[in-house]
Amino acid sequence: MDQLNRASNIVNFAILSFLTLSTAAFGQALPDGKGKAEFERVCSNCHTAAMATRLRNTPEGWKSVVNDMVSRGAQGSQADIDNVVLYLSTNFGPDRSGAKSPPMPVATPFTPAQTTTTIALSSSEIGDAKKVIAENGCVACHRVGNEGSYIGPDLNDVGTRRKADEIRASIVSPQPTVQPENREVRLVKRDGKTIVGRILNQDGYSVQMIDATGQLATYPKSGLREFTIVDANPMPSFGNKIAGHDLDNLARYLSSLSEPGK
Amino acid sequence: MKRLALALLLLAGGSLGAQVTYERMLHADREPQNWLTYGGDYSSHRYSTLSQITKENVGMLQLKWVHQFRTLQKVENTPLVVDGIMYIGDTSQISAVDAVTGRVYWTYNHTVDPRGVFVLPMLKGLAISGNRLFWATLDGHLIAVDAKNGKPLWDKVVAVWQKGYQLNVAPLVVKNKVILGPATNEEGANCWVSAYDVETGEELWRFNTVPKPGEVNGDTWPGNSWIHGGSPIWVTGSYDPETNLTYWGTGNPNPGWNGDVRLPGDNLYSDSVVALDTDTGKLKWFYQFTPGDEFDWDSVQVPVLVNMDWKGKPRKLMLWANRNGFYYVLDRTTGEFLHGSAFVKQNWNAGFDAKGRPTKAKDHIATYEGTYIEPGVQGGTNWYSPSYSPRTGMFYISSWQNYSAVSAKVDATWKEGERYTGSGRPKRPDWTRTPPNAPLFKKETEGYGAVIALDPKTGEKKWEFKMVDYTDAGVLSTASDLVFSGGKEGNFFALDAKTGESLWKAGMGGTVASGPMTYSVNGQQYVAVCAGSALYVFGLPDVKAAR
Repeated sequence: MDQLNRASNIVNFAILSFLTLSTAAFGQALPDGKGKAEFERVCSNCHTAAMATRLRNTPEGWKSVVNDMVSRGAQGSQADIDNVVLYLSTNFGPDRSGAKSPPMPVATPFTPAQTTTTIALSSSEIGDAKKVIAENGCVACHRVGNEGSYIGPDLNDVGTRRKADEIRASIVSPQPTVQPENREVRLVKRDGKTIVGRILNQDGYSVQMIDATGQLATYPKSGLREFTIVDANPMPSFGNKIAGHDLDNLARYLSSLSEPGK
Repeated sequence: MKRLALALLLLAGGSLGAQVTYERMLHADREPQNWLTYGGDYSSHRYSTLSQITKENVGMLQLKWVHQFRTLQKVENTPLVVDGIMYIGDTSQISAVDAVTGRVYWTYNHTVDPRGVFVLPMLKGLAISGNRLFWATLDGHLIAVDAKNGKPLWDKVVAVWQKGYQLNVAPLVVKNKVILGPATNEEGANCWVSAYDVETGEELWRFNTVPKPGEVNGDTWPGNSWIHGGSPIWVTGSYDPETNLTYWGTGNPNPGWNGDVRLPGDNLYSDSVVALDTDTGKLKWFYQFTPGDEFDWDSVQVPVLVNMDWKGKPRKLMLWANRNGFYYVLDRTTGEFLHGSAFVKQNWNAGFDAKGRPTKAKDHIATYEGTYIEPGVQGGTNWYSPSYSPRTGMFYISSWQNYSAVSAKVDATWKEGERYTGSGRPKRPDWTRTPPNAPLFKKETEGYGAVIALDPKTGEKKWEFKMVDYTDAGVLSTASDLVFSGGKEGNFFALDAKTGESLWKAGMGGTVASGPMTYSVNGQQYVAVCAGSALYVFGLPDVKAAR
């Protein structure tokens, strides 16, 4: 087995591993219908069901969202993908009011008290923040504690990079593009396999990346059909989902996280 | 559904396999493509079953890539390689790099306290457990780093540099423990071996290498001399799963070159090997190579654990070529002395008693005017890793042959933050010029470096590969009967493990002061060694498509 095959197997395997961890919880409380199984299987690799189902969209809208996910590495046959679009369109179509999705709230202005990180969080506040993190599937992309994906920015030391109000704004109104060090790299190998991860390094000959499971891998550029560095921010707004006290508390909690042991 | 369940089960098993578990380290020989511990395996054989590079093709070795460290110091690092990823470092930075291209995945920095003054600012290597790397920093931190993204998981100060300590070793991981000990900058700080929890960094046990008065062997230090007895840890120990003992070599007593305050006395456990229960840190046995040492003959060698026939009976042995110029065989279950013979010229030991205690030559004591010693202060060998090949049955060491020195003492008073050595300049005019250490103009009778192969049962020299200059390089042996080593001349070379014949060499442009190691990725074998302040990786012309 050559390096490329080995590495791509690792990636496939990693995605499957994620499936094993998250499928059980993923499908709870989802309406039954054609395409449910495919939705659970394909989409739970990277995120919670709620991340998709809190949105409302037309069939065209869902098709575009799902196609974007495929280009980000969602794995499934064409029939699987069609069924996912069907399931989402049928069960999560536009509301009768005609609104596509509930409007995103704008980040509320801060009072100094909310930005003050010197006030230590109580254990119940920490517990609340962890609950919000769990309920919203933040670990689908980020690392928190010893859990989560290695692709998005690590939140364990986010407090060393961001203040509470900046974190709050990122949750409610994510920037359209990510910082260069958080860029995604999407590779298509000669055999058509797509590999997605966070870019760590590259030169003219090869690219180094880390995938969701933390697997480090190097790919020679000569063995690639496509090589794309993506700076679009994949993070959706959580403004509808996390608000008020939860949002303030989460931002305060995250801003308190710094490198362990330091 | 059944199929899915089976698939999930397999996946769960597979995902555990990606971690460096105790099981994997225990059977490191089953995955020769990797290099999981400082010495290559728990027995510290520094031997690999990889055999793609052979006597026939070794001449075709070519440079694959170089990693430049951010230091002007010589680099003593032995890299770890786990499934195609190499972990390396110097005193200020560690990195994960692709083992095929050398391209960096991540780096993690630690700024050594600039107020610290350290005798030997080196990092010998890292240790790994699960997905955690362990880095013992020069200024006394033990840091657990996530091997995937280079982020710190915990960071503990385990030795306070202001008190005269430094960390220099690659830690040893056994089960849930990270085991290591500090060295002292010859400042007379008493040292220890201790174990820390891999998850939390909590100290689990500690063995003090200088016992206090009232403790067993506390009476080997006259008066208050024990307070600044030193006995440091400079190199990584070994582990024997059969006895559950971990073995560590200890360094010299302080003051190192003047024993007036601490003699008569053996000054335990300086210049010894200590066998510790891996679960509790309790001393099972010790053997002291150089009792009451006055010439800095640290026993900071890597314990090499070998099971072999000894006088007709299978026996668990420990092979040890010591800085004092003698080659030893010990029973590693009991510490029993089985053999001792000189592998270099020596003038200090008039013979062993039945228990293996050396009889010191009468005039071999530190003096103010100067004492002629064989071997010299740097010893017959030193911290450089030896190698044992189960194929050839030979024990390979880097040695300083015909090497001598004139060592003189001065009075020593301990002062905090100062070196406590008692080392002076020779006063006798005919000895003011010690034998030349520089290779230029030097005659072979005045000293030379050599890789030597010993018959481990007899200590008999089977062959010798001579250099002009001395050597600080470790030795690697492989299943294709190759030996790799180097030296101060700056050459990295391959020898025939059976005969010592030179097969290949490369000029590295800097001293080779590290132990070579080997690994493979995608069926291609590589040999890596640090020279000067860089890591060099060699391999055959690409076996498969070039990267």
